[in-house]
Amino acid sequence: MAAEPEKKIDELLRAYARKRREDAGEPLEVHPATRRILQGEVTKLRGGKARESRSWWQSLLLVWPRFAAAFAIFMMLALGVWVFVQNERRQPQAVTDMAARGTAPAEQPVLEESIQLKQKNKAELDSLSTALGREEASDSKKLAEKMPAQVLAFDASAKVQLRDAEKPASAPALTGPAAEAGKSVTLKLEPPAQQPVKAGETLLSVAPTDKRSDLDGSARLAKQVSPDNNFRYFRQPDSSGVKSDWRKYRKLLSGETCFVTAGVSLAPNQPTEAYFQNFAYADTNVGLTPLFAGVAVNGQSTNAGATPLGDSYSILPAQSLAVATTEWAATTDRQSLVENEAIRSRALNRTQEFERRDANGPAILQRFAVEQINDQIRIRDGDGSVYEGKIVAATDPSGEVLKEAKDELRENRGVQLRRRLNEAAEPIMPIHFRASGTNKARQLVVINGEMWGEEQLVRLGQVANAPAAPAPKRAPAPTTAAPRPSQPAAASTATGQAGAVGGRTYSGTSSRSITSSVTNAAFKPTTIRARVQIGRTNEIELNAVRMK
Amino acid sequence: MASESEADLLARCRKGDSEAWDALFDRHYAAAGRFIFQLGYDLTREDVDEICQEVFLTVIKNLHSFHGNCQFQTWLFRIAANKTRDYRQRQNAAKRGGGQIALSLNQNSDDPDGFVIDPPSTAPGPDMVLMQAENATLVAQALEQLGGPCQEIIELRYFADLSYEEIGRSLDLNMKTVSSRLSKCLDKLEALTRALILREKKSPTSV
Repeated sequence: MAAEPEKKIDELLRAYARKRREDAGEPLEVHPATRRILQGEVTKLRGGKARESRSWWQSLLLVWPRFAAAFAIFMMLALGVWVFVQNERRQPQAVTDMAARGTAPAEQPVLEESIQLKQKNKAELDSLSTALGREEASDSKKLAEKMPAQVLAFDASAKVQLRDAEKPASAPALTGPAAEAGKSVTLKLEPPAQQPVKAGETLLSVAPTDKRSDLDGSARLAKQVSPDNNFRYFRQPDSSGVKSDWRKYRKLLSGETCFVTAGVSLAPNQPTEAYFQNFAYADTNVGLTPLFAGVAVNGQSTNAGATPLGDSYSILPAQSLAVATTEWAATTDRQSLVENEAIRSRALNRTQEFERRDANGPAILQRFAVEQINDQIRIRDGDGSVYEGKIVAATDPSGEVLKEAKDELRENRGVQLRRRLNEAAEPIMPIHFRASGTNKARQLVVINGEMWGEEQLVRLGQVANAPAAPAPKRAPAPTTAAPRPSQPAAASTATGQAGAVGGRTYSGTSSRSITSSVTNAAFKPTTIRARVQIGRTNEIELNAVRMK
Repeated sequence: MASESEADLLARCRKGDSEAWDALFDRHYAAAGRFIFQLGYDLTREDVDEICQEVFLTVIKNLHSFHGNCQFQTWLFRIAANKTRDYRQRQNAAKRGGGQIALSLNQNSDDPDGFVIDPPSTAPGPDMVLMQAENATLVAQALEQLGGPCQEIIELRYFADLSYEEIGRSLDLNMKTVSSRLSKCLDKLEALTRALILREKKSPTSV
């Protein structure tokens, strides 16, 4: 910084400062009293030397309560996190175990819907088990403790019992000395009043007031002894509880043990989810012949039809208990053992077949009404489901011919074209429609079908039966995903209910445009044929006739 | 201890080390007293002691607010200037209200009559001394009238002998600003001083 030019005031100030310094005399020193005051203030505000000389352990002693509190909080948080993590790990593990146990005996897919249903109604089960009382013996209590929560509910009238299954004559297990020796025990659920006990059969009944663990009669089964007193059947429940149930029996005399697999599936609130492992077979290692037994669930006949293995089915009322039945007989010779193995293999195959059948879900559209407003169509199913859709226009050459003929007619191109127009005016072409909706089981249902009128059917029959008729044109597939129409059932066979029939490809001789069909007020469909897609995979054919 | 840096000393003071505080008092008390003594033309050593005590009490209470932006002595001088100003205001108020007259406790008590030997001096003659004393008094009065930032910057420059750089760091100004502000303040002070001198010359001499 450059030196500032000297100013008068600058000189005066320096002179004043010099004078005051001279006047100040000797340098000031801190007076002892002043020093004490200042040191006292230092001690007061900053703790003086005491803080300086404090050792580390003294400091630790002063702050240890804070450390203790912080440590306690940390431990509580750690404990909470640990408990949370453990719970998180257990839940998926439980699902996995359930799936593994459910699939191991019968190689079945896991029924996730049933598991979810079981969790949803757990509270309901608890209240149910409380209300059912405590009448069972200690073994039933143990079984109940082992058995997980299930979705169980009783219809008051659904008193079930076990009785003999119907035995087909071709069942090898029912022939031979073993059966004659009275070593076969067959079980089936039926109401006692409707199915009286036959001679020599074992009857088990389950009352509605029974405990939850015995709702399927397992506890009663455990008490059963074979007629010759050689076998004792008892129950070892599967922890999954939903899909399958293990029943174990012991040959009393020889001490050998094998397992019988039976399925129990209970889903009273949602019949379509009442999926049942509808097979049972006995291990043949101890010379027992397995016989297959099937079960229908909740009013749905899932396994209709006889099987050479002696399947037995019963349609239980809705929200009733479904119990598998099984049947076995003792055999002794090696040949029977081989046969039993073959039977067992067939039983497994049948099981897989039934699984496929059951996957189709419950029957729908057994009784329904159809409403049509212009091109809108509405199907009201008997179970209350409503499917809505519209009539689908199908592109067919005959329609194009008709249009072409009409155009030419407008241009007055001749009488011959007028004749062609008349021929094309009445085609044998159904009305295609497509409707979709959700059924009672909350499954997406897509109906691709066609409506046939009585006159069309008659004409179709005439065309099909006429030997000299020209070769019919093959009806092209509609532009939508509508399936090929199958041969309609004769109107005279109408029963008022729909029934599944085998599909036969229909080849029409002619057809007309959809527009003309819709606008034709005289057209009254009497037959509806459709393919109904239920859910993602199931598909059934529908052939329905109009009710009188 | 003498070789200890001021930062270390202040660090120990912040920890409450009483020895460090003693060292700090010893190191800066005299400079603070000399600076305070220049701030008032009528301040006695007793006044300076009292002001110094207040200054260092303030330092003890507010040492945590000193962040080392400038030298500790500069920070101390600013406190001293403020405390001196407050002290003089209180003193003037007491005088207006017929206050007390301070008596020196260090007065030589050997002579009960208060007479001391006054040997011949080589200093300027009495008339010169009187003129210098009058001028000094007028300058001090003018400086006191000036007040505010100008008074502070002039005190730091001429009584604390701080450089422009140190004044700038203390007042958070750059050097050019310090220079220009100091120049303007000196002009104002000069004008005030001239006015006081003229008024002094015009006023009748009291006998």
